[in-house]
Amino acid sequence: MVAVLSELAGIDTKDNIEVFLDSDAFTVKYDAAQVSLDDMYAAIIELGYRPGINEIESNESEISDSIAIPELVANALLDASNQGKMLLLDFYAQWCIACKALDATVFSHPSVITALDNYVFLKVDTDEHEGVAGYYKVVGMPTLIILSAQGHEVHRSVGMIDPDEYSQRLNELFKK
Amino acid sequence: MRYSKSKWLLVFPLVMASLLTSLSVRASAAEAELSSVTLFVEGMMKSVGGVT
Repeated sequence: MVAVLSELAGIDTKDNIEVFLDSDAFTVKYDAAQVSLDDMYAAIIELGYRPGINEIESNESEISDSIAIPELVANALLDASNQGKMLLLDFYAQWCIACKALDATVFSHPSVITALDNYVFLKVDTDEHEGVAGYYKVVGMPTLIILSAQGHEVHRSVGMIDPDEYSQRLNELFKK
Repeated sequence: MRYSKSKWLLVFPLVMASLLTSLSVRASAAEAELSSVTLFVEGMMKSVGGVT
């Protein structure tokens, strides 16, 4: 799989791919102008694999009912509703280099910090809360999901984003 | 003739220096433009043969 992905324009070399076998994941550095996440997903699917976290065990404690919102998120939604805010979920892992880059460039940016005043911000460790990541069909990291106070997904982004664009998006979605 | 040769010897290092600076700036700019993402693939660990 690494060999095939490294041949995609915009990735170019195996040195840009780091595999985390025990987490069924890999980190890839890519030129967004030449290759998109959809191109990478397409290559993965063509090889017979499926993007996403392994199916959740049926006895997963976080999800007692397959339809119910995971308790961790349900509690945050309640907070958001009580405060008249929306909910921002940040799916990450300790070993995720891209997530650290996102923290350093986006969540430390003044415009994003200001925009987050209207949001309850919940960071979800995908290793610790695999069930929650599975529930929201997280296929990559960092994944940011914006939920209305009613729990409806209104926006999702995967990978690196521009802080100014994202703060604008946060402000626009809250106004709606 | 001698004057123009010595002039060229003076200019050449400057041209090369500016060229190298330009190339290194472009290279670092290209490197800085790379995005990074972590992707999950179901069952990747179970099929190690397919990973490498």
